[in-house]
Amino acid sequence: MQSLHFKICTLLILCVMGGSSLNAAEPIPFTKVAPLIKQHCSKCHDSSVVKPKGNLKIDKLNIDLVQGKDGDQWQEVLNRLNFGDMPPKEEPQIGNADREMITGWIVQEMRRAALTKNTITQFRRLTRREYERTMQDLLGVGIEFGRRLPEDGRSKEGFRNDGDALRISPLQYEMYLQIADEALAGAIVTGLAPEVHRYRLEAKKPPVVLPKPDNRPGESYNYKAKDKTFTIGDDCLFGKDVKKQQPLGVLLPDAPQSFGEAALKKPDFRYGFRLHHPFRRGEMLIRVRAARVEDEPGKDITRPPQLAVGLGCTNLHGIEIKSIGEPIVIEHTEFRTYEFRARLENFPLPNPGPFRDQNCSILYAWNPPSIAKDPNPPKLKIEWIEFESPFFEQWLPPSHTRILFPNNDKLAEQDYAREVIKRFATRAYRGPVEKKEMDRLMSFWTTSRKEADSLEASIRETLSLVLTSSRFLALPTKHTEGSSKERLTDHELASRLSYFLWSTMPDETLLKLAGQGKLRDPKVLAEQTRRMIKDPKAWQFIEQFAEQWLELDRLQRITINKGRYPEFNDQLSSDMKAETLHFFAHLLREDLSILNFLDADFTFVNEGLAKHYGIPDVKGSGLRKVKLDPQLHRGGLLTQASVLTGNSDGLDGHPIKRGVWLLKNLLDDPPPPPPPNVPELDRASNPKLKGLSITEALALHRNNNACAGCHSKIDPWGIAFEEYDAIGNWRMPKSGKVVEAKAELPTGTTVNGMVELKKELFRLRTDDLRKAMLRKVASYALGRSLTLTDVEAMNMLLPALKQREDRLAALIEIVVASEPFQTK
Amino acid sequence: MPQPSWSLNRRTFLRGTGLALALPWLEAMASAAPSTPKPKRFCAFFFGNGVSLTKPTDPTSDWNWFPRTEGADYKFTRSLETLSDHRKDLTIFGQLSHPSSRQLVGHNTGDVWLSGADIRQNLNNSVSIDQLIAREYGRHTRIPSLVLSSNGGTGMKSRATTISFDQQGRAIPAESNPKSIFERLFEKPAEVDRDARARVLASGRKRVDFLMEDARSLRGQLGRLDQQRLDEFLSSLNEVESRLNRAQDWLGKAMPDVDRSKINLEVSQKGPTDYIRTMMDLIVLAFETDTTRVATYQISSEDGHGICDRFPGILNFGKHGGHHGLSHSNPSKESSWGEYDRYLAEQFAYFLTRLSAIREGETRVLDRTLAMFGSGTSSTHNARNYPTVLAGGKDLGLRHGQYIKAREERPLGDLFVTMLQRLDFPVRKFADNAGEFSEIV
Repeated sequence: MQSLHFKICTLLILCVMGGSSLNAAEPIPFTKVAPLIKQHCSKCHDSSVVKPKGNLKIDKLNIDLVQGKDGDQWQEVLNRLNFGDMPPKEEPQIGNADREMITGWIVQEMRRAALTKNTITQFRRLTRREYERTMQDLLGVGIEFGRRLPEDGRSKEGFRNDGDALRISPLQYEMYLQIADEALAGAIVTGLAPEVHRYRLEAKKPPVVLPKPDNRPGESYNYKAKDKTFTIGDDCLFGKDVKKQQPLGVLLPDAPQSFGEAALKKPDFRYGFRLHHPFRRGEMLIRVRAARVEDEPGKDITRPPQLAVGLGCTNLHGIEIKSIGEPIVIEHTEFRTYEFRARLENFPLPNPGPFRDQNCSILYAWNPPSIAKDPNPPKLKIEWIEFESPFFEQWLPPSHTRILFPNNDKLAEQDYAREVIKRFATRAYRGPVEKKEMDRLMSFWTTSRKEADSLEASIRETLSLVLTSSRFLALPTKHTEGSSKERLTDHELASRLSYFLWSTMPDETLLKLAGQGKLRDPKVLAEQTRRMIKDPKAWQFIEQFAEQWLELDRLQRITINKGRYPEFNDQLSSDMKAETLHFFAHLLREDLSILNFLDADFTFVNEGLAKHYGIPDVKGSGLRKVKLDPQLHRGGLLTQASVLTGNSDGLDGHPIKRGVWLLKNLLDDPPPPPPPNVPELDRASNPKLKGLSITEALALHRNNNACAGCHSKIDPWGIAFEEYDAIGNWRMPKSGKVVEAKAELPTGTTVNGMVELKKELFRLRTDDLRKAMLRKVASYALGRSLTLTDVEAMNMLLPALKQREDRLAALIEIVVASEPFQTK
Repeated sequence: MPQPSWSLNRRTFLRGTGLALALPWLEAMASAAPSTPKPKRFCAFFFGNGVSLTKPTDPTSDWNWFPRTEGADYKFTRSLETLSDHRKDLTIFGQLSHPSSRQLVGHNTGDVWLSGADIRQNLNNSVSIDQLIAREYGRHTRIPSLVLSSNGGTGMKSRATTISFDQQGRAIPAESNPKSIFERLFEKPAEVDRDARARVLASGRKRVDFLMEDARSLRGQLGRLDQQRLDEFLSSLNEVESRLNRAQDWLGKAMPDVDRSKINLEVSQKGPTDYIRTMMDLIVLAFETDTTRVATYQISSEDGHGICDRFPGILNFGKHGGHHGLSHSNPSKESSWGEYDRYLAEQFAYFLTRLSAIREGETRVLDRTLAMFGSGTSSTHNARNYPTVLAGGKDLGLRHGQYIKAREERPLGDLFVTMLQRLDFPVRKFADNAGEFSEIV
């Protein structure tokens, strides 16, 4: 007996028949539909009737849903038919085939109309992520600028970089203005080097203040006592008595645990500073002298310990803490010094004051949680920890000299300022700055310089305009010949490419090629695309596209029943997502066939996920490629736990969700949304469904006239997934009885289980997958919904893709080379 | 003998002869511009540590904060009896709480009482309802909002000494010194301060002017549809500019004429009653002069922090050494905690009396003010069933006079949404609300 609460329908009764899809070769002509409407509807809903029921004159409805204005009325007709309440019970009923013909035609036309309504609007603002990365690249300052902005909207296709969903408000503009000021204050400095504060904490010794750093400007802080603003405590406030348990600062491999308190992670064992200090921004350097503890003989220690460092703040119950970078593997048993650098702005900060032990910064070092899971965890020892703030290698910092470059040519101040502003604006606007714009900026600077105390201040004020200009905050493409389609300029092309694959501004190579007018050369463009895909920055595309395309965020939204699935936890959930991202990344970087999405003989797992899948001999938290044996029943996206879990109801698998997911994302053949007021079918509350299995309930559902049409096109695709439970376990061998995973697909083939489903997908729907990928990638690349023309253009690329053996990187190249990508 | 905070004889005032403003500001304004819609206002008063709850069988059964029976016929228990004069102007709510905070130790909920943020994973707060309102209402007044607390400042995370959080969820430092609050609200700023402020505003306007011109020149180079998108930038900039302009205008306008000698600013937290009442008087004055339309006041913070924890001790409510200590007393055996609840309710009653005595045209200021009073925990550490009173707003379409106890736990956000709607915010969502509160409209 499976779930009693299986809900067939919440958002998921999709009561429209498959009908036309974007892939369908043969559209339904209206001439086939008209006689059916006449036969079944005209008795009550015709203009010849004296008082047409519901005032619907169906013969007068405009059959052009694109130009006409009767779309809503057709929608109503569709809902009534699908709902099964038309024709009324006392009238002769429509046969299933006829009903499908009518609803199929309506759906087909509604889709076409929807596509036609999509317009080519290029201008869009940067997403939060793009803004942050662009600011970081432009200024060379690693502050998480985007954290303060509101979250971006999501398009109807699920993409977050769609111009339609990227709105701007006065509040958001005020935030841009504030962030620009603060960013420039961080990037451009004034005056002499500030005081540098350095502290060292050594095991079992009171904290010490270190002398002024060698070879670095600045002064050491005159540390006296606790009455100063800066005090240090060497304790771990929480948990066990640190000093007693572990002399010499050896760390137990305990993980921080969250428990039922507000936002705190209670460290059982860490080693660190409490810092009462007024610093809220700037770079800092943390140095840790650490070594691996020699393994005890006889203990099977399989790997070295790691050193992780985190910065956060205390509150009454504990701490909020965030790791600085990735943990470092500590191989050596003699002490060495390891360095961590970070910006204070990116970490949890205490409230501005007054500071006390429960409201101050805190710095911790530890052997991270993943290690603790080893049966014999390796140990780490620490000699001392140092903290230095603000940290800079030289004064002036590179972020400063990059903007205010050394004036070696001894330019007069105004000429120098012009050059500084021009160089900056050219990079910020990702292309040449017109003279007119430069003149306006310079005139602003001139006034500003008169009022400002320093050249730096006037430059900051002027550059803040650049950072808040719509030329910077958005991606404009300029038109020269009215509204007709034209080619992107080389610089616009560089931007489009760069935001597509890297989510940030073009690098110097791209800008240089654009400047030389070479980027539009197809050979150069293809070469650059390949270079960009190989670049680590392409992770941006991988992560965002894959997550949004495959709706991986469902994983976070689903609540898994802990009673039934005690093995499920946050770590496993994030490993599941990582598998899919790594799998996608591998296809892209190795330029493998996209048919691997349907089925593959490899995947990526770490120890946790391997255990989940029953793959032996995988150790450690890092994901690696493993070969998949057929008896593991895995291969391709359809059997990845991320997809199966995200499309469950937390208690059990969910055939409708899974079927819809397959149709919508992999085949781009989404079932239309359900009509309003569809009742929920609940196996617990609905007496008719009580005691039925999911498959039986679904069957009953499909036999119900109201639901039949649509669900016979949806459910069968999901039934084969029934071999996998709510968290993606292959459950055939576990369950007492054989799970029903057999269904007749709309293609006419009966499939039993995932293997047969995949076979059927390979037999009939690979072209749909190809086209779906082309269109999804194009939509993300363009940052907008596709128009009918775009869709056609993408479908036309099918032969080219096949010729390139369906390779994913080739697909990117093909999209980049396409007309929609290169025009505006 | 504590000095009354308002040096005008309070009994005179309570008899309804009105307030000793040198000029009844609102009336003057109303007669000068009869067409201007009358202001709507919001204020919230918070106390920490929950309330005394007892069983009907306890000898102290009278000291249960919540009434024993629901509906319009409810009886005030002794804890809330001091509010009985305002029965027709208020509603008491039971079973409200922020869903994401229910599992937390109650002391944490002060931070999110007005925001409903989910702080289970980290302490990132979100905007509080008062600041959401202030963002809009602030355009009509000299000061967008008044943020007060008995402790002042922000305090530490999870035990903030303010109940207001900005659009990015950062704690807004609360003011606690009545003198400086009064000076900021009603006295002419020093010339240097005003000049500095004027320079900041002027520079802001210069920037926005530049950006608008910049956007307009870009507009000419875009396609038609792209232009429509850019227009959203332009209209945002436009609004940013009008905000700066309004701030600039206020700099030039005369301060309301309020006579300092009429308010007792010589108070301190060592005399809690006078202090709390002066803080409330300042809010009343700020509303009356339309200096702001939004105010929050954390009367006492959570968990024994700060000077306000000593109020019950100074006032001789039991021998538990502070509000937090009091909240760990045993209400089934002794009434001190309930007596302090009653005291706090009495202060809120004082505020309501003050607001209802001021008229603007046909209505009382109270009738166009939503005034919340409550805590983020029911008993000491239980972050469910927040003690909640909502008063005022009859002229905004609120129906009062009941104790409404939801059958099951209900999001406080439901009430927030309805309050926001009454204040002309067309919202359906606030934090993790499930719906609206149609019972009071």
